[in-house]
This record gives sequence, structure tokens and C-alpha cells, in this order.
Amino acid sequence: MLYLQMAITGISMGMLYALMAMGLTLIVKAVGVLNFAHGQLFMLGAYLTWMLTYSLNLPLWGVIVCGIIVFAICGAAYMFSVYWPLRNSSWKVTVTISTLGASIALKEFVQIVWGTIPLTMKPIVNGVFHFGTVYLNYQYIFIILIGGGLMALVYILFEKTFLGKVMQATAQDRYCAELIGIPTIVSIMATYMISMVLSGTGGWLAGPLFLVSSSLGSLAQKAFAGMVLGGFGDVKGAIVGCLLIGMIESFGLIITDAYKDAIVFAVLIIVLVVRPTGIFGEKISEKA
Amino acid sequence: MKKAISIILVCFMIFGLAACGNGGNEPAEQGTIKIAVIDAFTGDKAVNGQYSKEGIELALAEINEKGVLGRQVELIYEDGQGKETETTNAYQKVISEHELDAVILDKYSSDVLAVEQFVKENGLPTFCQGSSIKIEASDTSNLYSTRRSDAGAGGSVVAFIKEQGLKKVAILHSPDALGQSMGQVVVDGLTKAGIEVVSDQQFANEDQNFTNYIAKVLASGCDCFVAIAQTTHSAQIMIAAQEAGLSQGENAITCIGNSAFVQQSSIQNALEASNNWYACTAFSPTISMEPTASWIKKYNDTYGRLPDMTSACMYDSLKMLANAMETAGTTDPAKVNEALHAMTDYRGVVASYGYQGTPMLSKAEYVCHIEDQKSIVLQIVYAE
Amino acid sequence: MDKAKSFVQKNLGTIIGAVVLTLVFFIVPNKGVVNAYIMKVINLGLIYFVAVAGLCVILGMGGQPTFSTAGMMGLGAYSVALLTTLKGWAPIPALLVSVLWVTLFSVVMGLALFRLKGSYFSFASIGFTSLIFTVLTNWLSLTGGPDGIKNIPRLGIGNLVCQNYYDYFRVLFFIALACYLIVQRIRKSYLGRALGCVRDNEIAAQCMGINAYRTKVISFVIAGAFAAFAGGLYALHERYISPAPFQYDQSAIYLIMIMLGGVNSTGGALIGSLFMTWLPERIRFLAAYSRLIYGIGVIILMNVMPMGIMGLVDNFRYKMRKKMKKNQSAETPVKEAE
Repeated sequence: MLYLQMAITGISMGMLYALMAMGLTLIVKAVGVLNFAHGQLFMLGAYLTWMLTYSLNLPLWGVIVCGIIVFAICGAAYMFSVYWPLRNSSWKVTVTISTLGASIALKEFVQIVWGTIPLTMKPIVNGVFHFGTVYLNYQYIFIILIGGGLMALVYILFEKTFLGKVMQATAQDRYCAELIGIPTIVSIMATYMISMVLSGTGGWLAGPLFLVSSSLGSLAQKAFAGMVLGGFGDVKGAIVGCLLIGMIESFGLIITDAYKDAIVFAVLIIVLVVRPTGIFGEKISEKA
Repeated sequence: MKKAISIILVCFMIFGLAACGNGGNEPAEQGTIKIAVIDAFTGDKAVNGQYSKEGIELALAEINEKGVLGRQVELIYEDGQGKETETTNAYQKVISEHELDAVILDKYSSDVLAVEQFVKENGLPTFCQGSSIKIEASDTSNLYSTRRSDAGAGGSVVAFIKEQGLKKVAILHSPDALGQSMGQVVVDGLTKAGIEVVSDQQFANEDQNFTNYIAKVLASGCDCFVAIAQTTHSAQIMIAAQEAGLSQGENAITCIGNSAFVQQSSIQNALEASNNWYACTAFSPTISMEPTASWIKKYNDTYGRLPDMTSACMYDSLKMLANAMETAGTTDPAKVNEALHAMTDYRGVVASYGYQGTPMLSKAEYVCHIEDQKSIVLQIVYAE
Repeated sequence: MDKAKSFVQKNLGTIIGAVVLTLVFFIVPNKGVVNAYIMKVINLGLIYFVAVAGLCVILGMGGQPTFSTAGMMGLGAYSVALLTTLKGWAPIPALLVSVLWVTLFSVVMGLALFRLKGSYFSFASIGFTSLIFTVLTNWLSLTGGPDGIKNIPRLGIGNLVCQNYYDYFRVLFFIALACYLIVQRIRKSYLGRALGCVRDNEIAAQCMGINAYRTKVISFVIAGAFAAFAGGLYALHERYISPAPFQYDQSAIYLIMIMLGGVNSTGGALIGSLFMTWLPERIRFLAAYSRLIYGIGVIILMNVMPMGIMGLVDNFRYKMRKKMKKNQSAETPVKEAE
């Protein structure tokens, strides 16, 4: 029974990580750098939805509609302040540094605006779902459903639509994409917007479970790990990687509790050393 | 040439630093008594700084109504972010730039331990809220803590479990100094008393989801669950325990927490999940005893919300310092220390305080029970 | 006479540098010039520079962004602290032994981590630092857990002990100078150039016969040694350590230091580490807003000068030189033709 409970918790946490990791992966694909402020964007999502729900008193559908709009604006603003001015820099680390700066600034920003005390948010449906001795908060069911839905949407968007092809072309070779007349600024902006919507939604779903506080951002480390485990720049890999990380984290508890995080990272390093491109990453031969 | 320019630039930087340092130096004012307050006002632990500022401002207003030795008290706030490097920097800053009469530090033990060497050196009366066993064992005679040590608090948890006649105990504690040392004290105490510890777990700082830990506690078949954590995690633990039917419902068992579990912010966040928890604590915002109750009312009237333990401890620290200065008749650090050492029974809002040879001044603790989101004091535990 | 003149002209930079350094060495560590607090901040900046000097090699020359700095510093700091407090060793031998074993450890870690490339490597180094942090926090019997280790002795040999921050500065000054010179030496050596090749184009470098893997591992080992040394100095300077300053977000701060100072120059690393240690202290008066301003400041500074302070300086000098050349060629076109 304990194992079943652990598996369920692992999957639901994995889904949450996957929501974050998907956004991360899209950014990595589009601009080739890790976004270190992703956890803070997730946290910002939770705070913004809190504001929409409790300060503006919007109904659920209003929160969803306004939320998506607000997230998209935030994503665009984030992209223009952190990535765009540095797009032509020969050192990719510069973008990394500005995302690190953004993560510090965002963490302080929410504390100044909404105070330092964690905020409480009501879940979509209150209560706990029991089957036998195993139980699951309804909110996790929403996470799995909404998360799964968003994943499908992203897949359709990227693989089946014209906009997706435009974004993929930009991700593969920005210079070439510009040559054939793709406005890369729009497509990169769209990537950042989608990424922010994904992680913001994650924040909205996680808020009722873990309280809305600046420590929500710390979940991102696991999402990073999941993404790397699955192979950089592969959305499918990121999802599988995150579910795996969720499981490892859950079942790691059987062996040790104090060193639980150490196990996650040790597994990650070992997997990477054995398979340097992650589980799903393909080995692409480099060009000189 | 490149080298030369880079070196010159470096020198400019260094001289720039030097110039700034001198600019900040203020002449010591004869008129006011200067007390530095170092706490986390930014960063992850900023919630603490907010509460402590509110508490200490309340004390300041009361003190300055009459003045101490006919002088006014001036507070100098400095941000330590709850990190030791920043706290030492902040400490060095206030010490170098002001003629201080006393210092009040935050509640994070590692911050206190990091500056302890300087505290010992300069002899200023220094208050903190650190509760680590290492602080209790410290031989710095001018360091005072408004708390009981983790050993003492752990001892009262053990005593309570014994009294309730519980047989199998599961423990979940935080990875920080508080959780590790208090967890150890509880485990040792229980083993000594012949009570079985069926599960002893430590969660990680980044953890948000406690379902698995609680599931393991459930699976261990215990009849008592002890949780030790800081405020944010305590609310999450209470929520997770309620979900699992551990603290409430027909299969509920005795759940005991540390002081964080009855603080206002955790009850406010956990809401009905906090009901039915027990806690061993030095302070609770719903205590109905005097003088605590009227102080809480005053705090609520001033700030529109209930205080936290940090606010109360900070309030007591400043009041005690002012009191000691009045007794000593001077702000001379050595005399003030003497006065503090001679203090046997000072009734603050948190507890009675007295100097017993260690930095830990607090003499009492409560066992509370949370009912209807209010903590009710069941008993008072006195330090031996 | 002529010879002396040409010698002076040739080495003008070095001479100015030496004079200025001497002045700094004698003027700065005085109570009248800087107070103990500023001295401590400068000292911390110099200690961080030692760690950042290692980053100069692995990131600046080799182009491999690593987050292992804080972890390696933690290992160095804890070994020094344990050797001096538990075993009663003198600080200097403890420092040397710690640096030695962390260097050996870096060889093993470097061999493993550099099987990975680019962002994979960066992330694995984050994992590595988190691992070390977890171990330092939880190995209660050895490291004292989150309470840390106190009463670490002061830096010194025999009776010559650093009594205050001013003494520390005098020692750290030379250490920082030595590190600066070592990194400058590496930059001009075969290793430095090989690293530059690997950074700019790994495949081309391999075609030229450079063993990219080995070169990168060596740079990792050098960075590890520098970081361990910095960690040891940190322990001896602060005299109290706990696991908190060795978390991965501290590594991020070292990266910010080198990137803002100028990733391509050692002087930039020094400026960056002093500047980024000083900045948070300088904006303390902003109270609750200080961290927000700090974060925004990092973004703005990075946007304004992607190559850091030294990059800006170089750019300026390049433009000035171009201008001067133009003026010169306009004045004396004949000479130019010769």
C-alpha cells in the first residue's frame, strides 16, 4: 500500500515538474540557454493567480482567461528584458547570468508586493480522494488532467500547425529562419509566452497545495533535473524525465530520507556519465 | 598597457571602497542609546524580519515614552538575510560605524554562532533567539537568548509523550539546526524512557510535498507523531497530516509539533488542518494569560494582525535590555552585563526570564492544544 | 641612458602597476583609511577572487560554465576547519593538504563530468554541488551539521598570526597577486591557448591535435584547486563555517562576478569579485529593496556590457586607438606608407 501511495505521489509531483520542464525545454530549444529564473516564473504564476482570485475576485473562468493573458504578457516582458538585448552576444553565459539576476529580482519582487508571509489559496475542488488506504488530493487529479491536456496542446501546436513549424525553424537556425522571412522576434516571443503560460499554470495548480510563497521556486531544481535526464531540448524526454525524477524522489525515501535529494542528483550524474545525452537525447554530430 | 590599466582600475575600486567606508562613519551622538538589530529583512527568511521589526518597534515606542536613564533609544537595523556571511558583514558594519550600546540578533543559530567570536571580543550585551545546543554550551557570558535550548524543548516533548502514555512514536524533522538537534534530543529521550521510536525521518529544505513522509508515518503503525519544522513547512506538514487522516478523523493519533506549529502564520495557512495538534512552545498568539494576552491585544490593535514568536522575543529582548540599563544606572556594557547576570525573575510577554549560567534565559514553556484554530494552553513546563 | 629610457618605455605598464600596488598595500590596511567592516568586505572580495580566478581558467579560457565552485570551496573549507579544530594542525599545512586532496578529487570529478558537454556539464555540476551540500549538512558526526564548526584558528605561522582584518588583508593581497600572476601565466601558456581553441571550436581544436577532453579536465582541476584554496582561506578568515555558503546559488554569484568583471581578463575577474562583494553592502541602505535592486542591477549591467567591465574598457580603448590611428595617418600619410 505504501508503495502504491508513493507511486501516485511520484507521478503527481512528476507531472508538476513536467509542466515546468516543458517550458524550460521550449526555451532551450528556441534560444539554447538554461532559464535559471524558471522556478521564479512558476512562483510568479502562483502569486498572479492569487491576485486575480482574491484581489480582483474573478470567477474561475475569469481567472483562467485573464491568467493566460497576464502570463503571456509576463513571458513577453521577461523575454525582452532578459534575452533580447543579449541575443547577439558571442557568450551564451551572458543570458544565463541575466536569468540568474532575474531570479533574484523576481523572488524579492513578490515579497515586496505580496508580503513575506505565505498566502493560502483554495483548491479547485476541496477534498481528498480515497481508494482503499491510498489517497490523493483532488488538486493532483487536476494537475494530471490539465498538465496532460497542455502537453497534448503543445505537441499539436509544434508538430501540426504552421506557427509551430515557424517556431521550430527559428529554434533550429535563427539566421536561416530570418533569411526565409520568418520574424524571429515574434516566434521567440511566442515561445517565451507559451513557456510562461505553462509554468504559470503549474504555479496556479501548485499554489493551493504548497501555499503561495517565494519558496515555490525551489521546485525548479527537480524540473531541471528531469529535463536533463530526458535529454535537453526534447519535450517528450523532459516529460518522461520529470516523471522519473518524481518516482526516484518518492521511492528514494525507502532507502534514505536525509540523503533523498542526494540520491536524485547521484542518479542523474550516473545516468549522464553512462549516457551523456540523457535518455531521449539523440547524438547529433557536431559541425566544425 | 592592458595590464597597467586593469591594475589602475582595481586601485580605483579599492580606493572607492575606502572612501565609501569613511563616508558612512557617523560621530557618536551623546544623546541616544544605540542598539543594533540584525535580522533577515530580505531574502527567503524575510518573514522573520518583518515580525521582529514590528515587535521591536512596539517596545521602542513604549520605552521612548519615558526614556532610559533620561535618554532616548535609537535602533539601527541591518539586514543579514538570515545567512551567516551577510550577518557577519552586517555585524562588522554596525560595530565599525556606530558607537553601540547593545546588539540584538536574529533567531538563526548559525548566524549567532558566526558572530559569536566578535560578541565575545567586544563585550557588548547581545541578545538573540537562537536555540541551538551549541549556543547553550557557549561560554560567551555577554550573549543571551530569549529562548530555551532545543534540548529543553525536546525534553518537554518527551515528558508530554510519557505523560500521555503513548507507546510508539514517529518523528519527522527539518534538516536545519533546529530539526537535527531537537530531533536527536527527542529520540534519545524517548529511547531512555523505554518508548519505541518506530520511524525517524528528515525532510529536505526544498520539499513542498509531504505526502510520502506522512504515508511512511502511517505505515509505521505509530500512536504518536512528532514533527519539528520551521513555520512555512509546519503549515504544509499539518495540511498533509490532515489529508492523510493522521491528525483528524476516526483514526487520528496524537500529533505533536514544535513552537512553529502554533505561530500565527502557520495556523493562518493551515486553517482547519491545524486543529487537534499539540505543540510545545514558548509562545502562542492565542494565549489568554497575563501579561501576554494584553500585549497580544495591543499588538493586534497596532498592526492589525497577531504577533509571531519572533515579535514577542524581540519585544522582550529590548525591554530586558532597557530594564538592565535602568538597574545598572549606566549603559556601560560591563555593568549592563552584570545587571543581566543578576536578573532572576523578569516577567516578559513570552515567559519569565532569569540568568542560569547559560545564554538561555527563558524559564518556561507551554504545552498547547489547537482547537478551532486557536491554541489553548494545557500546561506550563518549567526549566529545572 | 637610452637603454634605461627604452626599458622604462617598454615596461611602463608594469612599473606603474608596481608603484600603485605598493601604494595600495601600504595605504589601504590602515584604520584611518578603511574601517574594519570595509576591510572585511575587501578581504572577502579577495578571497572570492581566488575562487573566481579558477573560473577564469575554466570559463574564461575554456568556455565551460561550471557551478562546482561553491562545492569545491566547501570541501576545502571543511577540510581546513576539521584538520585545524579536530586534529589540531597548524593552518598552513592544513590548507596545503586540503588543496592537495581536493585537487585529486577534482581529477576524478573532472574525468566523470567532462564526458558531458555544454549545458549537460553545467547541470551536472549543479548536481555535484547540491550533493556536497547535502553531505555537509547531514554528516552530523563529522561536519557538525547545519550548526557548523566554530573556533577555527586564525591564519598564520608560529607566532606570526593575523590578529585582525588588516593583517589578513596584507596576506590576502599577496595571495591574490600570486593568483593573478598564475592565471596570467596560464593564459599565455600552451594550456591557455589550447583551452581557447577548445572554447572557440572543439572539433577544429581536435583536428589540430589538441586533446579536448584532457584539456578541459585539466582546467577543471585548476579551477578546483583555486576554489579549494579560496574555501580554506574563507574558513580561516571567517573562523566559523556552516554548509550554507557552499550552496549552488553561491556558485551562481561567482559566475556573476566573472561575467560582470569581464570574462576574458584576469583583471576583470578581480574587479568583478570586488565589485560584486561590495555592491550588496553598498546598497544596504535600500533595506527591503536592496535585493530587488541588486537583481535588476545584474540584468541591466549584463545587458549594457555583455563582455563585462573589462570588455567595456577594451572596447573603449579599441575605439580610441582607431581614432588615434586615423588622426595619425591624416597627419603623416607618408610615414604610414613606409
